[in-house]
Amino acid sequence: MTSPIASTPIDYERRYSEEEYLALEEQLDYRIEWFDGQIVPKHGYETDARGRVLGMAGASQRHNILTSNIQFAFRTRLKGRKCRALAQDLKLQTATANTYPDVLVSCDPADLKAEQRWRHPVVIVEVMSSSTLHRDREWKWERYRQLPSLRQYVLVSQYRVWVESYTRAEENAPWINEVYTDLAATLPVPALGLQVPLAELYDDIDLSPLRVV
Amino acid sequence: MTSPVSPPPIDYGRRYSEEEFLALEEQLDYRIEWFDGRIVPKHGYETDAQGRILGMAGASQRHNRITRNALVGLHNRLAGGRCEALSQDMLLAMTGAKTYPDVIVSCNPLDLRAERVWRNPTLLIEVLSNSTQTRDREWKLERYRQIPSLQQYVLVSQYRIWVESYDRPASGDAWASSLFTKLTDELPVPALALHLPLTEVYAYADLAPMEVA
Repeated sequence: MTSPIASTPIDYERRYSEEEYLALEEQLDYRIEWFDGQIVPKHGYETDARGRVLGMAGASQRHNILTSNIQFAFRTRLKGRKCRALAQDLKLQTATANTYPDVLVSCDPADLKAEQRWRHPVVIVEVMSSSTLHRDREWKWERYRQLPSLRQYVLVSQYRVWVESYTRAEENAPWINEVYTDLAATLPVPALGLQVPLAELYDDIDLSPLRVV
Repeated sequence: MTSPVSPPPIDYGRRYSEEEFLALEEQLDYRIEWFDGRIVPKHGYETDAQGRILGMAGASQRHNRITRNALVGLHNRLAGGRCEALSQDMLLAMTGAKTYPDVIVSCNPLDLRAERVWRNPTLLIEVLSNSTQTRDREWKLERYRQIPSLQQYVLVSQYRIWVESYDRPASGDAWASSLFTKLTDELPVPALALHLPLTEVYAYADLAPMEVA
Protein backbone atom coordinates (compact mmCIF):
# COMPACT_ATOMS: atom_id res chain seq x y z
CA MET A 1 0.00 0.00 0.00
CA THR A 2 1.41 3.37 -0.91
CA SER A 3 0.99 6.39 1.30
CA PRO A 4 -1.88 8.66 0.14
CA ILE A 5 0.36 11.71 -0.10
CA ALA A 6 3.51 10.76 -1.89
CA SER A 7 6.36 13.03 -0.95
CA THR A 8 7.94 15.04 -3.76
CA PRO A 9 10.69 12.96 -5.31
CA ILE A 10 14.09 14.58 -5.27
CA ASP A 11 16.54 13.97 -8.04
CA TYR A 12 19.79 13.94 -6.11
CA GLU A 13 21.75 13.93 -9.33
CA ARG A 14 20.42 17.14 -10.74
CA ARG A 15 21.29 20.73 -9.87
CA TYR A 16 18.62 22.91 -8.34
CA SER A 17 18.65 26.72 -8.29
CA GLU A 18 18.37 28.32 -4.87
CA GLU A 19 14.76 29.30 -5.67
CA GLU A 20 13.87 25.76 -6.74
CA TYR A 21 15.44 24.46 -3.56
CA LEU A 22 13.44 26.84 -1.37
CA ALA A 23 10.20 25.99 -3.18
CA LEU A 24 10.86 22.26 -2.96
CA GLU A 25 11.66 22.50 0.73
CA GLU A 26 8.26 23.97 1.52
CA GLN A 27 6.58 20.82 0.24
CA LEU A 28 8.68 18.41 2.25
CA ASP A 29 8.22 17.09 5.76
CA TYR A 30 11.96 16.67 6.30
CA ARG A 31 14.97 18.97 6.05
CA ILE A 32 17.20 19.17 3.03
CA GLU A 33 20.38 21.18 2.53
CA TRP A 34 21.68 22.84 -0.61
CA PHE A 35 25.31 23.09 -1.77
CA ASP A 36 25.99 24.91 -5.04
CA GLY A 37 22.89 23.40 -6.62
CA GLN A 38 23.13 19.96 -5.10
CA ILE A 39 20.53 18.77 -2.63
CA VAL A 40 21.20 16.44 0.29
CA PRO A 41 18.98 15.32 3.17
CA LYS A 42 20.10 17.00 6.41
CA HIS A 43 21.05 13.80 8.19
CA GLY A 44 22.64 12.15 5.18
CA TYR A 45 21.62 9.19 3.11
CA GLU A 46 21.74 5.54 3.88
CA THR A 47 23.57 3.75 1.11
CA ASP A 48 24.30 0.15 0.30
CA ALA A 49 27.82 -1.23 -0.06
CA ARG A 50 28.06 0.10 -3.63
CA GLY A 51 27.09 3.59 -2.53
CA ARG A 52 23.57 3.51 -3.98
CA VAL A 53 21.11 5.69 -2.07
CA LEU A 54 18.63 3.57 -0.13
CA GLY A 55 16.95 6.29 1.86
CA MET A 56 17.54 9.04 4.34
CA ALA A 57 19.38 8.61 7.57
CA GLY A 58 17.62 9.84 10.68
CA ALA A 59 19.27 11.50 13.64
CA SER A 60 20.04 9.19 16.55
CA GLN A 61 18.70 9.68 20.05
CA ARG A 62 22.23 10.61 21.14
CA HIS A 63 22.44 13.22 18.40
CA ASN A 64 19.17 14.69 19.64
CA ILE A 65 20.16 14.76 23.31
CA LEU A 66 23.50 16.39 22.50
CA THR A 67 21.89 19.00 20.29
CA SER A 68 19.36 19.98 22.93
CA ASN A 69 22.02 20.02 25.67
CA ILE A 70 24.14 22.37 23.58
CA GLN A 71 21.26 24.66 22.73
CA PHE A 72 20.17 24.73 26.37
CA ALA A 73 23.71 25.52 27.58
CA PHE A 74 23.87 28.52 25.26
CA ARG A 75 20.31 29.69 25.91
CA THR A 76 20.71 29.73 29.65
CA ARG A 77 23.92 31.68 29.44
CA LEU A 78 22.63 34.16 26.86
CA LYS A 79 19.50 35.10 28.80
CA GLY A 80 18.98 38.85 28.84
CA ARG A 81 21.47 39.44 26.05
CA LYS A 82 20.66 40.43 22.49
CA CYS A 83 21.80 37.07 21.15
CA ARG A 84 19.84 33.92 20.39
CA ALA A 85 20.78 30.23 20.21
CA LEU A 86 18.58 28.10 17.96
CA ALA A 87 18.75 24.47 16.95
CA GLN A 88 18.13 22.26 13.94
CA ASP A 89 15.20 24.02 12.32
CA LEU A 90 16.71 27.36 11.49
CA LYS A 91 18.22 27.70 8.09
CA LEU A 92 21.60 29.32 7.54
CA GLN A 93 22.40 30.97 4.25
CA THR A 94 25.99 31.33 3.04
CA ALA A 95 27.26 32.50 -0.34
CA THR A 96 27.01 29.03 -1.89
CA ALA A 97 24.93 26.94 0.51
CA ASN A 98 21.80 26.66 2.63
CA THR A 99 22.18 24.41 5.66
CA TYR A 100 20.54 23.57 8.97
CA PRO A 101 23.31 23.69 11.56
CA ASP A 102 22.59 21.65 14.69
CA VAL A 103 23.01 24.75 16.87
CA LEU A 104 23.68 28.30 15.80
CA VAL A 105 24.04 31.52 17.73
CA SER A 106 23.56 34.98 16.30
CA CYS A 107 23.74 38.44 17.87
CA ASP A 108 23.03 40.23 14.61
CA PRO A 109 19.91 42.46 14.69
CA ALA A 110 18.94 41.56 11.11
CA ASP A 111 19.15 37.83 11.90
CA LEU A 112 17.13 38.18 15.09
CA LYS A 113 14.34 39.88 13.12
CA ALA A 114 14.55 37.54 10.11
CA GLU A 115 11.58 35.41 9.15
CA GLN A 116 13.36 32.30 7.93
CA ARG A 117 17.08 32.47 7.37
CA TRP A 118 20.10 33.65 9.30
CA ARG A 119 23.18 35.00 7.58
CA HIS A 120 25.42 36.33 10.35
CA PRO A 121 25.98 33.68 13.02
CA VAL A 122 28.77 34.13 15.53
CA VAL A 123 28.91 30.48 16.64
CA ILE A 124 27.95 27.28 14.79
CA VAL A 125 27.92 23.82 16.37
CA GLU A 126 27.57 20.54 14.48
CA VAL A 127 27.06 17.20 16.21
CA MET A 128 28.89 14.69 14.06
CA SER A 129 27.34 11.47 12.75
CA SER A 130 29.07 8.83 10.67
CA SER A 131 26.71 9.61 7.80
CA THR A 132 27.53 13.33 7.70
CA LEU A 133 31.11 13.41 8.94
CA HIS A 134 32.52 14.53 5.60
CA ARG A 135 29.88 17.15 5.15
CA ASP A 136 30.51 18.73 8.56
CA ARG A 137 34.28 18.60 8.38
CA GLU A 138 34.72 19.58 4.76
CA TRP A 139 31.72 20.84 2.81
CA LYS A 140 30.24 22.92 5.59
CA TRP A 141 33.45 24.03 7.24
CA GLU A 142 34.84 25.25 3.93
CA ARG A 143 31.82 27.56 3.61
CA TYR A 144 31.26 28.46 7.23
CA ARG A 145 34.81 29.66 7.69
CA GLN A 146 34.20 32.31 5.04
CA LEU A 147 31.25 33.85 6.88
CA PRO A 148 32.56 37.27 8.01
CA SER A 149 30.54 37.14 11.26
CA LEU A 150 31.68 33.68 12.35
CA ARG A 151 34.06 33.47 15.32
CA GLN A 152 33.72 29.83 16.35
CA TYR A 153 32.89 26.47 14.78
CA VAL A 154 32.46 23.55 17.14
CA LEU A 155 32.35 19.87 16.16
CA VAL A 156 30.95 17.53 18.79
CA SER A 157 31.29 13.76 18.49
CA GLN A 158 28.34 11.65 19.52
CA TYR A 159 30.51 8.55 19.84
CA ARG A 160 33.10 9.74 22.36
CA VAL A 161 34.01 12.78 24.41
CA TRP A 162 35.47 14.83 21.58
CA VAL A 163 34.81 18.53 21.19
CA GLU A 164 36.83 20.23 18.49
CA SER A 165 36.73 23.98 18.33
CA TYR A 166 37.91 26.46 15.73
CA THR A 167 38.02 30.06 16.91
CA ARG A 168 39.25 33.32 15.52
CA ALA A 169 39.56 36.71 17.19
CA GLU A 170 38.39 38.76 14.21
CA GLU A 171 37.31 38.42 10.61
CA ASN A 172 40.68 38.00 8.95
CA ALA A 173 42.53 36.39 11.84
CA PRO A 174 43.78 32.80 11.50
CA TRP A 175 41.56 30.00 12.80
CA ILE A 176 42.86 28.35 15.94
CA ASN A 177 42.01 24.71 16.52
CA GLU A 178 41.64 23.12 19.93
CA VAL A 179 40.41 19.72 21.03
CA TYR A 180 38.77 18.84 24.34
CA THR A 181 38.44 15.18 25.31
CA ASP A 182 38.10 15.33 29.07
CA LEU A 183 34.61 15.46 30.63
CA ALA A 184 36.08 17.75 33.30
CA ALA A 185 37.17 20.27 30.63
CA THR A 186 35.38 23.47 29.73
CA LEU A 187 34.77 24.78 26.23
CA PRO A 188 35.60 28.49 26.05
CA VAL A 189 33.42 30.65 23.81
CA PRO A 190 35.48 33.84 23.78
CA ALA A 191 33.32 35.75 21.29
CA LEU A 192 30.39 35.55 23.71
CA GLY A 193 32.45 35.60 26.90
CA LEU A 194 31.14 32.17 27.94
CA GLN A 195 32.50 28.92 29.33
CA VAL A 196 30.56 25.71 28.76
CA PRO A 197 31.54 22.60 30.76
CA LEU A 198 31.75 19.44 28.66
CA ALA A 199 29.87 17.61 31.40
CA GLU A 200 26.86 19.77 30.57
CA LEU A 201 27.11 19.04 26.85
CA TYR A 202 27.40 15.29 27.41
CA ASP A 203 24.78 15.17 30.19
CA ASP A 204 22.60 12.05 29.89
CA ILE A 205 24.76 10.61 27.11
CA ASP A 206 25.73 7.02 27.59
CA LEU A 207 29.16 6.68 26.04
CA SER A 208 30.46 3.17 25.85
CA PRO A 209 34.22 2.82 25.52
CA LEU A 210 35.11 3.42 21.92
CA ARG A 211 37.39 1.39 19.72
CA VAL A 212 39.83 3.06 17.44
CA VAL A 213 38.60 2.90 13.84
CA MET B 1 44.98 -24.86 -0.52
CA THR B 2 46.36 -22.81 2.32
CA SER B 3 49.56 -20.87 2.04
CA PRO B 4 52.49 -22.73 3.63
CA VAL B 5 53.31 -19.98 6.12
CA SER B 6 50.15 -18.36 7.39
CA PRO B 7 50.51 -15.09 9.28
CA PRO B 8 49.42 -15.14 12.93
CA PRO B 9 45.78 -14.19 13.34
CA ILE B 10 45.14 -10.87 15.07
CA ASP B 11 42.53 -10.62 17.78
CA TYR B 12 41.24 -7.09 17.20
CA GLY B 13 39.23 -7.35 20.39
CA ARG B 14 42.16 -7.83 22.73
CA ARG B 15 44.87 -5.49 24.01
CA TYR B 16 48.47 -6.03 23.01
CA SER B 17 51.51 -4.71 24.85
CA GLU B 18 53.99 -2.60 22.93
CA GLU B 19 56.41 -5.53 22.81
CA GLU B 20 53.73 -7.92 21.59
CA PHE B 21 52.83 -5.43 18.86
CA LEU B 22 56.43 -5.13 17.69
CA ALA B 23 56.92 -8.90 17.69
CA LEU B 24 53.63 -9.49 15.87
CA GLU B 25 54.44 -6.86 13.28
CA GLU B 26 57.65 -8.58 12.27
CA GLN B 27 55.69 -11.65 11.22
CA LEU B 28 53.14 -9.85 9.09
CA ASP B 29 53.29 -8.88 5.46
CA TYR B 30 51.06 -5.85 5.97
CA ARG B 31 51.21 -2.83 8.26
CA ILE B 32 49.36 -2.56 11.51
CA GLU B 33 49.15 0.36 13.94
CA TRP B 34 48.89 0.34 17.72
CA PHE B 35 46.79 2.66 19.90
CA ASP B 36 46.95 2.16 23.66
CA GLY B 37 46.98 -1.61 23.25
CA ARG B 38 44.53 -1.85 20.34
CA ILE B 39 45.73 -3.02 16.97
CA VAL B 40 44.30 -1.77 13.69
CA PRO B 41 45.39 -2.43 10.10
CA LYS B 42 47.04 0.69 8.68
CA HIS B 43 44.49 1.22 5.92
CA GLY B 44 41.47 0.34 8.03
CA TYR B 45 39.06 -2.56 7.92
CA GLU B 46 36.29 -3.32 5.55
CA THR B 47 33.15 -4.01 7.51
CA ASP B 48 29.66 -5.16 6.64
CA ALA B 49 26.54 -3.12 7.41
CA GLN B 50 26.51 -4.43 10.99
CA GLY B 51 30.08 -3.27 11.52
CA ARG B 52 31.54 -6.79 11.51
CA ILE B 53 35.09 -6.93 10.22
CA LEU B 54 35.29 -8.58 6.81
CA GLY B 55 38.91 -7.89 6.02
CA MET B 56 41.48 -5.21 5.60
CA ALA B 57 41.09 -2.22 3.35
CA GLY B 58 43.90 -1.56 0.91
CA ALA B 59 45.18 1.82 -0.17
CA SER B 60 43.79 3.09 -3.45
CA GLN B 61 45.92 3.96 -6.43
CA ARG B 62 45.10 7.61 -5.83
CA HIS B 63 46.19 7.33 -2.21
CA ASN B 64 49.47 5.90 -3.42
CA ARG B 65 49.99 8.59 -6.03
CA ILE B 66 49.28 11.48 -3.69
CA THR B 67 51.54 9.99 -1.04
CA ARG B 68 54.29 9.54 -3.62
CA ASN B 69 53.81 13.08 -4.95
CA ALA B 70 54.09 14.60 -1.48
CA LEU B 71 57.14 12.50 -0.69
CA VAL B 72 58.92 13.35 -3.93
CA GLY B 73 58.04 17.05 -3.60
CA LEU B 74 59.50 17.14 -0.11
CA HIS B 75 62.48 14.94 -0.93
CA ASN B 76 63.52 17.12 -3.87
CA ARG B 77 63.39 20.24 -1.74
CA LEU B 78 65.15 18.69 1.25
CA ALA B 79 67.94 16.92 -0.64
CA GLY B 80 71.37 17.82 0.65
CA GLY B 81 70.00 19.25 3.87
CA ARG B 82 69.82 17.84 7.35
CA CYS B 83 66.20 16.69 7.12
CA GLU B 84 64.76 13.62 5.49
CA ALA B 85 61.32 12.63 4.17
CA LEU B 86 60.19 9.01 4.26
CA SER B 87 56.95 7.34 3.40
CA GLN B 88 54.54 4.68 4.60
CA ASP B 89 57.02 2.16 5.95
CA MET B 90 58.65 4.19 8.70
CA LEU B 91 57.26 3.42 12.13
CA LEU B 92 56.54 6.46 14.28
CA ALA B 93 56.49 5.99 18.06
CA MET B 94 54.83 8.34 20.52
CA THR B 95 53.23 8.10 23.92
CA GLY B 96 50.26 5.77 23.62
CA ALA B 97 50.62 4.90 19.93
CA LYS B 98 52.71 3.56 17.08
CA THR B 99 51.69 4.45 13.56
CA TYR B 100 52.85 4.47 9.95
CA PRO B 101 52.23 8.03 8.75
CA ASP B 102 51.85 8.38 4.99
CA VAL B 103 54.69 10.90 4.89
CA ILE B 104 57.02 11.75 7.72
CA VAL B 105 59.83 14.33 7.84
CA SER B 106 62.43 14.43 10.57
CA CYS B 107 65.44 16.65 11.12
CA ASN B 108 66.49 14.89 14.27
CA PRO B 109 69.95 13.22 14.16
CA LEU B 110 68.78 10.34 16.38
CA ASP B 111 65.87 9.61 14.05
CA LEU B 112 68.04 9.75 10.95
CA ARG B 113 70.37 7.15 12.47
CA ALA B 114 67.60 4.96 13.91
CA GLU B 115 67.17 1.39 12.73
CA ARG B 116 63.42 1.14 12.66
CA VAL B 117 61.55 3.78 14.65
CA TRP B 118 61.34 7.57 14.43
CA ARG B 119 60.26 9.62 17.44
CA ASN B 120 60.94 13.26 16.59
CA PRO B 121 59.16 14.24 13.37
CA THR B 122 58.89 17.85 12.24
CA LEU B 123 56.11 17.29 9.70
CA LEU B 124 53.52 14.53 9.32
CA ILE B 125 51.17 14.09 6.37
CA GLU B 126 48.19 11.74 6.19
CA VAL B 127 46.26 11.16 2.97
CA LEU B 128 42.63 10.76 3.99
CA SER B 129 40.59 7.69 3.06
CA ASN B 130 36.98 7.03 3.95
CA SER B 131 38.05 4.00 5.96
CA THR B 132 40.55 5.86 8.13
CA GLN B 133 39.44 9.48 8.19
CA THR B 134 38.26 9.39 11.79
CA ARG B 135 41.52 7.77 12.80
CA ASP B 136 43.52 10.51 11.05
CA ARG B 137 41.35 13.40 12.16
CA GLU B 138 40.80 12.31 15.75
CA TRP B 139 42.88 9.43 17.09
CA LYS B 140 46.10 10.45 15.37
CA LEU B 141 45.63 14.21 15.55
CA GLU B 142 45.18 13.99 19.29
CA ARG B 143 48.39 12.01 19.77
CA TYR B 144 50.54 13.62 17.09
CA ARG B 145 50.03 17.01 18.69
CA GLN B 146 51.60 15.74 21.90
CA ILE B 147 54.87 15.04 20.07
CA PRO B 148 57.12 17.91 21.18
CA SER B 149 59.10 18.10 17.94
CA LEU B 150 56.06 18.23 15.64
CA GLN B 151 55.52 21.59 13.94
CA GLN B 152 52.88 20.75 11.34
CA TYR B 153 50.24 18.09 10.66
CA VAL B 154 48.74 18.02 7.18
CA LEU B 155 45.63 16.17 6.01
CA VAL B 156 45.22 15.65 2.26
CA SER B 157 41.97 14.43 0.71
CA GLN B 158 42.25 11.88 -2.06
CA TYR B 159 38.73 12.64 -3.29
CA ARG B 160 38.98 16.37 -3.95
CA ILE B 161 41.43 19.24 -3.72
CA TRP B 162 41.50 19.66 0.01
CA VAL B 163 44.65 20.22 2.04
CA GLU B 164 44.16 21.05 5.69
CA SER B 165 47.16 22.14 7.68
CA TYR B 166 47.58 22.40 11.44
CA ASP B 167 50.56 24.47 12.55
CA ARG B 168 52.08 24.71 15.98
CA PRO B 169 52.32 28.37 16.92
CA ALA B 170 55.55 30.01 18.05
CA SER B 171 54.04 30.48 21.50
CA GLY B 172 51.11 28.96 23.34
CA ASP B 173 49.64 25.56 22.63
CA ALA B 174 46.73 26.30 20.31
CA TRP B 175 47.30 25.06 16.77
CA ALA B 176 46.41 27.26 13.81
CA SER B 177 44.31 25.76 11.02
CA SER B 178 44.57 26.69 7.36
CA LEU B 179 42.82 25.25 4.37
CA PHE B 180 43.89 25.03 0.72
CA THR B 181 41.32 24.02 -1.91
CA LYS B 182 42.67 25.49 -5.15
CA LEU B 183 45.18 23.85 -7.45
CA THR B 184 46.98 27.18 -7.64
CA ASP B 185 47.55 27.16 -3.86
CA GLU B 186 50.85 26.26 -2.27
CA LEU B 187 51.17 24.60 1.10
CA PRO B 188 53.63 26.54 3.23
CA VAL B 189 55.91 24.45 5.43
CA PRO B 190 57.60 27.15 7.51
CA ALA B 191 59.56 24.75 9.71
CA LEU B 192 61.35 23.42 6.63
CA ALA B 193 61.41 26.78 4.84
CA LEU B 194 59.65 25.45 1.76
CA HIS B 195 56.37 25.53 -0.14
CA LEU B 196 54.69 22.54 -1.72
CA PRO B 197 52.48 23.48 -4.72
CA LEU B 198 49.14 21.65 -4.79
CA THR B 199 49.64 20.95 -8.50
CA GLU B 200 52.52 18.71 -7.43
CA VAL B 201 50.59 17.06 -4.64
CA TYR B 202 47.68 16.24 -6.94
CA ALA B 203 49.68 15.40 -10.09
CA TYR B 204 48.14 12.38 -11.92
CA ALA B 205 45.48 12.13 -9.21
CA ASP B 206 42.69 12.34 -11.79
CA LEU B 207 40.04 13.78 -9.51
CA ALA B 208 36.44 13.45 -10.68
CA PRO B 209 33.99 16.23 -9.78
CA MET B 210 32.92 15.47 -6.25
CA GLU B 211 29.37 15.17 -4.99
CA VAL B 212 28.60 16.44 -1.54
CA ALA B 213 28.15 13.49 0.81
